[in-house]
Amino acid sequence: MPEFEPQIVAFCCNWCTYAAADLAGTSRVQYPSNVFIARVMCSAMVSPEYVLRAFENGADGVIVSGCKYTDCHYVDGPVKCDAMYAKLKRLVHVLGLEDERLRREMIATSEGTVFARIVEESVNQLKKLGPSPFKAKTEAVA
Amino acid sequence: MNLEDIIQETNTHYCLECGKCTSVCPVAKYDPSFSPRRMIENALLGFEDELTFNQKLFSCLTCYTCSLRCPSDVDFPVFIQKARGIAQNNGQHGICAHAGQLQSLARLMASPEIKQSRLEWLKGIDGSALYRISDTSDVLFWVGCAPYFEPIFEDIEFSALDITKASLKILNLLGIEPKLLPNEKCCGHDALWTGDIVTFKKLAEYNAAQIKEAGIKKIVFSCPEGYRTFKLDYPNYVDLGCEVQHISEFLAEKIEKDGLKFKEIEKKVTYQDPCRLGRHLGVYDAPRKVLESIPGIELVEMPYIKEESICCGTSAWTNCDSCSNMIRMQRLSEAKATGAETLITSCPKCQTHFRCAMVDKGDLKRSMPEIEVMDLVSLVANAMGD
Amino acid sequence: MEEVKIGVYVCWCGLNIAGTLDSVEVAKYAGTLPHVVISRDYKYVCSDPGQDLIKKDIKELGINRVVVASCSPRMHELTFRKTCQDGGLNPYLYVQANIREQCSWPHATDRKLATEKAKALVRAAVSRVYYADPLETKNVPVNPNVLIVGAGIAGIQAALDIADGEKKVYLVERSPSVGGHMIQLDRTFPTLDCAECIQTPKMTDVGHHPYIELMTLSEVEDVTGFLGNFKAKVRQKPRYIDIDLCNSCGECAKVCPVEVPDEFEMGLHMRKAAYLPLPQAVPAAFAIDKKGTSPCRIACPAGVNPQGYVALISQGKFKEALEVVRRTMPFAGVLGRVCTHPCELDCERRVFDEAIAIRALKRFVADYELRVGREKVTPIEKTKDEKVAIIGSGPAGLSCAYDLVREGYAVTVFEALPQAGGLLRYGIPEYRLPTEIVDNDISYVQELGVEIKTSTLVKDLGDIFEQGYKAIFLAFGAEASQKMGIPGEDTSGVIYALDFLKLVNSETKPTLVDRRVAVIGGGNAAVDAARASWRLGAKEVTIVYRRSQAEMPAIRTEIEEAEEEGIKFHFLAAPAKILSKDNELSAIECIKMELGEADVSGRRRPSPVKGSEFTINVDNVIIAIGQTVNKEALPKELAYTGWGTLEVNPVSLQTNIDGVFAGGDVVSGPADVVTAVAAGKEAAISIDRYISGVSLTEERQTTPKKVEQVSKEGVKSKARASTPILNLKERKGSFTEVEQVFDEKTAIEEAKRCLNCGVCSECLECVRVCDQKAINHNMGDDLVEVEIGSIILATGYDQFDPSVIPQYGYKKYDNVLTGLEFERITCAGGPTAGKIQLKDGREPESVAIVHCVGSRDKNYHEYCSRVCCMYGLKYAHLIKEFTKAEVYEFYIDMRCFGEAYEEFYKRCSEEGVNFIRGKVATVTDQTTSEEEQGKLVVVAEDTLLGKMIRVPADMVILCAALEARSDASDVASLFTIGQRADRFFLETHPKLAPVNTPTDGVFIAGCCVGPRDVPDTVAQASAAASKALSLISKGMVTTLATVAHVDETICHGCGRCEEICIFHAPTIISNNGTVVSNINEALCKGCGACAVVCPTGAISVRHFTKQELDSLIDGLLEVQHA
Repeated sequence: MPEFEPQIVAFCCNWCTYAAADLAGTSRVQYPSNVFIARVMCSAMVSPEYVLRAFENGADGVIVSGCKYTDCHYVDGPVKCDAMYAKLKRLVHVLGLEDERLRREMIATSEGTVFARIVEESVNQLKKLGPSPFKAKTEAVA
Repeated sequence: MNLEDIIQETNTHYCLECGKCTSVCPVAKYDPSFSPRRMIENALLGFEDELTFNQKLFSCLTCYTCSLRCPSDVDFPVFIQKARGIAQNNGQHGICAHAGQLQSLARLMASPEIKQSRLEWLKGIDGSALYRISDTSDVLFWVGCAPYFEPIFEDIEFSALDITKASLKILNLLGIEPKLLPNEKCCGHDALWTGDIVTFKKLAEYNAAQIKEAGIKKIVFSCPEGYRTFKLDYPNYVDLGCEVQHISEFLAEKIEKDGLKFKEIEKKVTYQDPCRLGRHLGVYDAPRKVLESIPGIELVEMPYIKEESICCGTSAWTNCDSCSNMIRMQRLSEAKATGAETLITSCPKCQTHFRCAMVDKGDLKRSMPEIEVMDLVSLVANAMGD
Repeated sequence: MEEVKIGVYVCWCGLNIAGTLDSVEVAKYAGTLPHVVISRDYKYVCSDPGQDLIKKDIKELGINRVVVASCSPRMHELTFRKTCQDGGLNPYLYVQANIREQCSWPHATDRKLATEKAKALVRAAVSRVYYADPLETKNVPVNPNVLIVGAGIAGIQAALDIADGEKKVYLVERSPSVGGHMIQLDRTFPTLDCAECIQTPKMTDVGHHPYIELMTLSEVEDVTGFLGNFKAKVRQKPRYIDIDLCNSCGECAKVCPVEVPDEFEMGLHMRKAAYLPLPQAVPAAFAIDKKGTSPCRIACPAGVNPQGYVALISQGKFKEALEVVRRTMPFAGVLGRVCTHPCELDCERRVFDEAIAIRALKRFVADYELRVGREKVTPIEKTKDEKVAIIGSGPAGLSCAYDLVREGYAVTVFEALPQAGGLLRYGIPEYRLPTEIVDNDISYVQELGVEIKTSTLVKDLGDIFEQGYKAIFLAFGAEASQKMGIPGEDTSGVIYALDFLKLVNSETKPTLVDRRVAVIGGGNAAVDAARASWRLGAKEVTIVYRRSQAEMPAIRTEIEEAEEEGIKFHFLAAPAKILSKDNELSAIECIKMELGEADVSGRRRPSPVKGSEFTINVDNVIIAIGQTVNKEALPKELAYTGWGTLEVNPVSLQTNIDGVFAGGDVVSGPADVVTAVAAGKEAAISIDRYISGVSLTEERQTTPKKVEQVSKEGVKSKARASTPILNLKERKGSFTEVEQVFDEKTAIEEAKRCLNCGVCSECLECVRVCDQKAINHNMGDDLVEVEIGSIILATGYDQFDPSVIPQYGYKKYDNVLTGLEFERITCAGGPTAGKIQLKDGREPESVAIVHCVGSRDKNYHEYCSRVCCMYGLKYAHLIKEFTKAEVYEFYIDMRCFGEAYEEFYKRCSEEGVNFIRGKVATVTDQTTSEEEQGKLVVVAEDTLLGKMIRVPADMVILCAALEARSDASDVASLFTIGQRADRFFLETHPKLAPVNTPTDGVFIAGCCVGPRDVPDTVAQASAAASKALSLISKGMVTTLATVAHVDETICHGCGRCEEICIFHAPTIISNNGTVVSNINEALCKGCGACAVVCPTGAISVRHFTKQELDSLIDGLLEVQHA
């Protein structure tokens, strides 16, 4: 049986983390292909619903990543994102999901390597954790 | 299930097109484009798409005001429920309030493998148990969505868990140590009423299995929606084999039989009949009995009560639109007009919606009447001392 | 809705993509996805032929959605949107799948995985584009005016660039002159040309430029609107000197009595309250510095201006000082003696040491006039036809007359008694208030033209009106003595205080030789009566008071002096009856009292102790338990309060009769003189308003702005001067004044103690000397609204305050200076006229220059301040050039980037400057060796030698960091722009958008963005200017299409969106009855925060709707479903 390949959805803000991911590519930094980036304009745009939906669709992990506090294109997007994330974290906890499956990151435009490192990290963690309990459901649907 | 069967099942073909339904419908009152009669007409004429692709299909509150008046006994709410099933298959699911989180949560809970940690609130910060519960008890208390509501509704200062805790406090004081299901799943009420039968079935099955396994004889609910779902809907899908009861009925019984007494609370209150508990299940008197038996409580009724009572404006987290808001405004003004200081309800959803309506953050204020909203059990818990 | 036909174009990007993943297979796969009608792969989709493919398919296959799988949308999204547009498709019906930067490049090792992922990305794009909606952008015209905030070199440069382009500039500067920090600099490195010489021309240009509207002393208070169409509210604070009239002759500053540290000279010397902000000030006009109204003036019931006359006394201008007093009221002499001086209680100096002796100083100037004689007073001409009658010539009546006569009214004062003055003359014994003083003050009022008719009792107000008086002011006072109502009160030998004091003040004084006198009561009248009795020879005087000493209403000092004079006090005792033996008064029987609860007056109410009666043997009893209004003496028709005083409107003082006003004791009941004066002045205002037909009450109370905080920096503690007192022997049997007057020297010394709380003292000397008539002390704030299309912020920096690093001894040692202070010292126009010298005037023999003070230091500021190394070198060079001093530069790294900087560094090292690599640990005066004697010692490690060194220096210059303005955050939130952790303003991109901010149309330049030297600042200013100009020349701005949108049928108008949006895009509006949110698309940036908090789902961001994002997520993960 082949090794379990986790699926990660990364919500990345257009101005910093998405650009960082681009930079990782441009500088040919290699990282696992298990991450799928959803481009949003600002991390504050990510409603808890989108994250829940990703899990529902079988994501083994989700990363919400945007600008650092001081370089937000919308001044205080990260602060708003934090507020949203705090609620989300509690929901996901009640659902009984392991903390490692949900990450909040702040990756600046220049940090291509950081982006790659974080993907690497989460993939390894998730491989240890195994598939998300919600996979079962989605497979059942199929 | 196709439209034809739905029509059969809900007596729709008996419809006289008298329009009474529309004329008493709280939604139609504020949204002229919404008409139960026309929806039924469309169904009878076989215009399935007009019915199921119409966003308004999800505006119905399924509050049973129309059905109770219908001369031909058409079960309009169930008609809507099933029609939504068809709509779902066409990818229609109305406008989801709170971005659809609550629907997602239901679907997520329907997954077999999850192990929720939904009971952490049972322990105090020091880890000590705050309530006495027993794994061996054959009485089950139904916690419901409360643990999930906690983060979602903190911004309107509503804690559904307070209701759960109050209920447990009451049960304990009456010497009952109920069982709680550590992996209890959503009862599926909202899934069912938005037409997501797939999810509903799964949830019903998982819950029934757990309850059987635990050898439960009786389930007590603080939430009328769970109560209704277990009492009227589960039997159509699963075999539960146990008694179910709403806590207001349970309390009424205790007062009747065991002469339960409360300590005095000076308060002028009015009472909101939740549609599920009231029109759906005909429980009007129990909660009133409880209120009247608390010394010092003065119950002043609103003009429209019991069968005629007006709904909190939204059900199943869909189409919470401007007309929902107007329905709330009407109901809150009625409550305010009674001169009561508190609006008592026995449904967490009523409370969510009324509280939300009173949260006004714009610079241009809405003229929303303000009144304290409280669940029956919270009041009772206070009346049973500490 | 029309059938959705999607076209997918998978790019090879040469081998960039096709090299590591199978573009062909991806394209094939895409072809199988729902609604995809055509799917192609192509070498370079971005090439013209590539783009033509798309356009062709749009035309021929009628595809109405396009997906390109290629590089990052950040690279080519706009390219392909344009392609769609050219092909006749709305540009927003396009989605790009990033299979290069985010697939082929980072997953180059596993072709299969990369291909699979690419499929997923394409699939997601396809499922998303299905829900894409066509969007439109709008064009909004740009207002060509520009607002520039801050007129330092950055603001000046930007303003000139734009104005030279013949576009209107509003240049707003907080201080009274443009120039900023640069004009404080002496020379600029490395060229050493003097800052003045290069900046002054620019400053004058700004002053005269037809396209620049300069607003000094101004701050932006509010900004609304959006890119191209802003509105700003600018508050212009008064300069009190008309810029156009002022010819900078400087006379105002010469006569100004107030001195404060000069900000421009870094406090190295003083300037006047009327001052020229800097020698090359633009606008070239003086300004008057007012921090607010001084507490003493606010405390004075009559509103006298103590700071004003005290300041003038400190300059020896006694005559002028007296004028300042008389500007408000005529009783300098009287109140200089008997005032209860609330001003001294509130004197700011009290929090430091002791209050200024304000009352005594007032008396000093009054007596000064008596000594040197009064200059001829020219009566005020009657400019008004109306006559006013005043009844009663006490302090209230005369103050009212005084103000009205100066308003130009004919005023007649009617006095029942033979002489004017009321209680001043008859109620206060001469050892406190000599008659000549009363006469002198009253005579001044008369000389101004007030007619006083003595010995004329007014019985009927009707007569007065018939005599043609338009209004009447009643100031009868409260002259009826209160009776005790005890047995024996009518015995001869019993007298009431007022009657007694009247006798005492008359030519024929009574005698009390060898008599025992009891005075009943605790007020000033009681103490006066007692002390007068003592002076008239009484052998024993006892004050009997029913409360304890603490409750005595009499003035403290009076009680103390009475005690000195041997007056006995019998507290907690009340007379029960007055006994007489063979109808000669023999004794009073008293009963002991005890204090109970506090009464309305806040004093504890006494109650008799049963059976505690006792007697005191006396020959005379003086009853001084208070006065009341004598109703008999007053006209009938008046209304009274429960207290038996006249009833008047509390604001206008009008009685129940129209045109009849009343004030003073007759209204308030017995009170002190200054309160009566205040009432008189208030009545004068009413009467003037009444006669000229203005409302008596509206907009009357003008509450002066109290000065907020008063700097006590450098104030040395100094005891309050006490007035000389007559000794007991001299007092006995004599009525000469007990308290004596200051001599001139003491008066001046005492006046110098004043802290000048309000800075400008409003002595108005400047107004007197200004022949341009340019000065107007009544100027108020102006609120100007300007409409502009763009904004440039150039608000500059603050210098780091080194005193927070105690080891460096700044403000502790005289010769430890900051950079800016040294700039002033070397400057030819500076406090030392350019001579480099120590505080004591000596030339330094060795100078240490300490780098990185507050910079490159985690404890203060982590960043490098970028200019210190270079100005440090500049100082070294100048010191070398003008003195023989040794110079030591303590540096960590020398940062001499930039044109000719490194060369300058070399030059200085060749000049023999000592460079020591090491951060200074301490600057101390603790010397350890002979050579260190009398010098400061700079302790550091020479890290190159690796040994500790101690360098003796006469002068230490601290290269203090440049830090963000203390109020930077207020500015940031006002203009909704971001700040870095170090609080400097945040640019949109440090390299590619260095002058842009998140708020379109707001640009930043200069040190408000971070430390910069002059060249960089100027360059950045021009950059900002060009940004503004390009906006203007474009004339239009295109609004964002991907903005928030509200479905009004769903919205509740709960306002959560309005609350969370910092750009103020959503506002809750009432839309025919229903309350809903409304998005101002021009303000919306499309961040989507509002959509997240919207509980109903009414708000969505166009192009990022729930459907679009949901389908994107589904698409990404669908692999699992297969």
